[in-house]
Amino acid sequence: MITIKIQKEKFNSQKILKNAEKDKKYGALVSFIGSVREETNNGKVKKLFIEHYKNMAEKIIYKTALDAEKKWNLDYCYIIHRYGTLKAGESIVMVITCSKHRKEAYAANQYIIDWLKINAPFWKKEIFENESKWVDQTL
Amino acid sequence: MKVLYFAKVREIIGLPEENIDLPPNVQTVEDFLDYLISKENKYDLALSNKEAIHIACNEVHVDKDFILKNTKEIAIFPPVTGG
Repeated sequence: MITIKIQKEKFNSQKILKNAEKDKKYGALVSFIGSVREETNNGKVKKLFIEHYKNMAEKIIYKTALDAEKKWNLDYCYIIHRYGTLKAGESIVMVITCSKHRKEAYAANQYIIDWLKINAPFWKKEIFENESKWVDQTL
Repeated sequence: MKVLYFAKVREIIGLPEENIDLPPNVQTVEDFLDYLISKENKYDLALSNKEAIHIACNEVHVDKDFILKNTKEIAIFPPVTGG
């Protein structure tokens, strides 16, 4: 089962995890959460603005989850990614992968987050006290 | 053709999207970028570092030699930084 959510609102990772844990047939559950760092190479981050290309982001994340589900025979896959303005410390993304054995759940989880980072159309802008800067954008 | 701009490209061009009729000599993504760059200074500023520009046609990543013939929507953006 694949669930994809792209939303502006905060998400409750404990609640999401609890939901995923309801079905104990999986054997293995791996959960990853990526959050807004308070300090980067550019200084102390106050907020993070995330822009996205809605339709394409949904398609790419779903396709990534589908590929992972097939490759590692996943029983459950949940991906949530936020956009909009987030405060330091808030969660940006959560990926849950469940399978019969841990090896598959770990591999699928890493594949999804790695693939999402280089393909899903989201862009981060770090907002500092007196300036803001797009992450890795030298035009 | 609907043209979408994201992140720093959107900021420099000053628009999230616009409709542009393809000139007859524009066939590939590369041709289209060159056409925009020659059109106005703001496009030149945003797009002249073509190595750093990524393109999606009809919501699929494509290379610069992609032929635009059946493209209804093209998105122009810097490298993605999600996750």
